[in-house]
Amino acid sequence: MSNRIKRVFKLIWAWNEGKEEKWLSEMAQKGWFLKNYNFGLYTFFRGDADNYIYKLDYRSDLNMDTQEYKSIFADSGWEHVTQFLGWHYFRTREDECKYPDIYSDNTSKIQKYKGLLRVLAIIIIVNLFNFINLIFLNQDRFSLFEYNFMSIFRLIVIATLTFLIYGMYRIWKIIKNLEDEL
Amino acid sequence: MVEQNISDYLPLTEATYYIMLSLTEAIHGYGIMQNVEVVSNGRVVLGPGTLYGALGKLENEGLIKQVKPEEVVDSRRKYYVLTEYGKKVVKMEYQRIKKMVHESEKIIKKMGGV
Repeated sequence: MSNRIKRVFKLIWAWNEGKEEKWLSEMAQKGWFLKNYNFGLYTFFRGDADNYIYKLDYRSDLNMDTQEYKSIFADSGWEHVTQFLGWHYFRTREDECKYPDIYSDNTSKIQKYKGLLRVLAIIIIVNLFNFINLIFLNQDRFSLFEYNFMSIFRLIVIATLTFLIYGMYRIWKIIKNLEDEL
Repeated sequence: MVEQNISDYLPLTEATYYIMLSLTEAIHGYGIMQNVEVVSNGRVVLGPGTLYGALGKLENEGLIKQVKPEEVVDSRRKYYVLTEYGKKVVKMEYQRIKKMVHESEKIIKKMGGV
């Protein structure tokens, strides 16, 4: 592997984004700068060690104005690094930033997490529909292979559903905590 | 857009109030940020996430709208301005805050608080 590029596979869930932001800052202090993120795979480029603050934003809006979005962030000193499934990674030089966060009040932070909650709810509803379909599927004429395959598939759907519901719970907790601070 | 009772929008958050105050004339996002800092004497600093979210919300509610000024200084950026309805809302919020200050003034003075 080239010593100018480092790839790290790491799964960090949405409710731990603070940890992720801190980790990206620590990587920058060691001279590794995030270039790209894709399904748990972080790609870092080598550079001169520097102090950067990283922040994650989430925008579920499909018809969002990406150009306007990025230019508002750029104007206030936040560079758009990469994006993945509605998650946007921004960074700013620690000594140059006016304000160390991309959100300046809890009301707008809550809005961000509510958007995320909405998308999770939609995915759960779709999954639930799949699950109900699987339960009522007539298996009488299934071969053993088909039967085993369906059993595994069913397990995967249940695991996904459980995970998504847990995720919703964690994000709901974040919203509750922010609301308590209002 | 459905126009609700104006009072349904109140109270506005501090960020929203100052964003709306900045939009009596058409300006772009960064202009709003600078203006809010000037108007609030540097007290209110808007994060870009907060500003972008507020602009989308205000536009959906019909309180502000996007415009294309005749002399576009910067064509990459979007320009926003208050709608007539938005003006009503921000004025109503001003009245509300003024009333609150007026009603509480005596009590606060008695506390020796000013």
